Amino acid sequence: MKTVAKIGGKVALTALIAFVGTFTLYITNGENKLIYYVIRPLLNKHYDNQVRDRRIV
Amino acid sequence: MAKTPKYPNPAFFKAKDNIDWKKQWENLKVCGGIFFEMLKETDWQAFADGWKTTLKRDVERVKEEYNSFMAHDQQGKLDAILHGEKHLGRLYAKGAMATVRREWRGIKDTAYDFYEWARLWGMLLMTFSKDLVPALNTVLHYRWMVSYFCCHAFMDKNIMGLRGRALKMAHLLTYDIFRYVAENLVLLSKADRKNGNSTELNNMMITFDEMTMGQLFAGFPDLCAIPHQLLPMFLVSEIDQLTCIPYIDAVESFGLPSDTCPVPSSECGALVIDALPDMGKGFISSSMPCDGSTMASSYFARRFPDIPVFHLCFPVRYYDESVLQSAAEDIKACIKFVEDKTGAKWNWDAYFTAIKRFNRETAYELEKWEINKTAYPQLLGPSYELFRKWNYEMDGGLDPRVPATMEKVSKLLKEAYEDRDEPWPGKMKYRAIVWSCPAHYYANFSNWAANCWGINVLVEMESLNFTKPLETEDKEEALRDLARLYERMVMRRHTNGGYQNVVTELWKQCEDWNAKLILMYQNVACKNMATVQGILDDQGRERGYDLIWIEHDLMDPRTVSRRTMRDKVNEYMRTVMGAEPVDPSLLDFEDEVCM
Repeated sequence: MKTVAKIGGKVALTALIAFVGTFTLYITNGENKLIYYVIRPLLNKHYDNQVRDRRIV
Repeated sequence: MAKTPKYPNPAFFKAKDNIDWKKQWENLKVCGGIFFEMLKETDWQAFADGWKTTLKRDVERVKEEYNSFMAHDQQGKLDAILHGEKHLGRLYAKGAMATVRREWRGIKDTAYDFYEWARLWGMLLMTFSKDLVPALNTVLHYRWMVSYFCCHAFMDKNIMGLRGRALKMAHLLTYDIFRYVAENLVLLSKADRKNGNSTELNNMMITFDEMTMGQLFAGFPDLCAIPHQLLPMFLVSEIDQLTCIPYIDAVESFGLPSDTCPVPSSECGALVIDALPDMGKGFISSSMPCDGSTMASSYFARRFPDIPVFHLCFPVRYYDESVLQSAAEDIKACIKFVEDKTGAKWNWDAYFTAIKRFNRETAYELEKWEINKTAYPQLLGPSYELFRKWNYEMDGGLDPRVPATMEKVSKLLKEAYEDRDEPWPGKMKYRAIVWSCPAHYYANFSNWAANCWGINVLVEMESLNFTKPLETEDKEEALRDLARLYERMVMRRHTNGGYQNVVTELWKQCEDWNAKLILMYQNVACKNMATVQGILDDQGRERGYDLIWIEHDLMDPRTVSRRTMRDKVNEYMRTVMGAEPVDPSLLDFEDEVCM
């Protein structure tokens, strides 16, 4: 019984942490900020420097 | 009862990739070099200062929001907690690409929105994990691919201010579109000879123009049919307003006049700088009444000379049944083209099964129209508009998972009507109709109009297409029905359909939907629509309609910005209608770089 309660408590705590983490990400629009301010500028630089295979000349 | 086959065919995902690892390694080395250079060149002090300023601004914003919340009385506070915020303009910040945070919709609706956010992420991760490596390669290879990372932000824009069942319906409908997009992006990446290079998948693949409808491919269940430019250009331009700019610039610097329609311009630009995938055994083009689309087809043939092209050219005389047989013959020739190029055989059973589904879906669509025509419209806004276009044009009954969604939406729709729900509570003031082609870079314009001015767009022109149930027994008549449908594909039906279909039709629809206000889009590069502008103006005035002309440049927000589009409505509402905004915070805000 004690073990079950212990496991249950851990599961509940993990679920709570997961919920708080994902909800914070959601409400702060965190994932979009990461995409716009970190990933996109990096990739844009990469695209600007890429040599493209131009077949229509 | 026979089991419904899995959709999309699992064989497509299982097809073996033939990635040229040597080339990909070279590409990765170039990427690594660029990232390393960037890290070396970055002014870290300026970077840290920038983030400090952002954090400071965030703290100020949080303080301001807290103070404004505390300024409410007890009832106001409770209302904000339970029913959400009222001033949505505060979600935007000057010069920011992303909104400062997500909207607070009240406890119940925020919880539901959060659930849908997580569900969408789950679906995306599961779908891309079906074959992740080619998809990641595609991100490194094509600039447009990164815009799909923003699909959640696109969802947020479309559902701003929506509450209750309207919010649920919008999520359900958009989820199906995103699932289609995610699955097709995986397949596109696998097939692309520059990435996954799967010969096995390419042997089963036909691509088609984004204006060509998907229904034809219902008869080829063993083939993977992908709209070639839809994912790289057409659809993504609705998600991210900045995505097409490099392609438009590429083709204009190549010599194309800048007054060409941005749809084919972007596509041609993408072909010039090699930003479209190389895939499939053949390409089917259409939309030939539009000169720009004709140009895009010829550019395709120049870029991919080894891929055979079939031009599906229907008569534009929709009401003249004497030309119908020639259109049906064109479809037969197209079927033969597909059979010859792929070795697949046309399957009438599969075709009729999908078309029966499509007929059911059309019936659901008519149900929505009936409710929106009443004094208590329920399904409004961009999600509905986009779903209708996607379902009519691309899905076309092929995906057996879609009717279940429509059934759920139908149930919610009826319940919402019974309870006289308001999709935007307290904001519903004007009944409006949207005419002419909408701006891709402002796909959520009708959402802004509802939140700011209480203008409720009941329906838009592109939704008002063919609704006759298609033949599902007689084979010859089925082909003629398919021809009738294809003659009325998006863009052909109205803007390329001539006076009767774009002018007379508008007044008829305004009467049917009981709408006095018309949001009249004016794509500054559309020559067809420019010819009837004066006529629409004169006749609209004579009939007593309120016509708000809203200029835009379809996929190029630099010509007419979103803000300029909003200003046209603001001016009209203030000066002609003498109206007061329902949310003044949305009257003027900066979103020039906000996707």
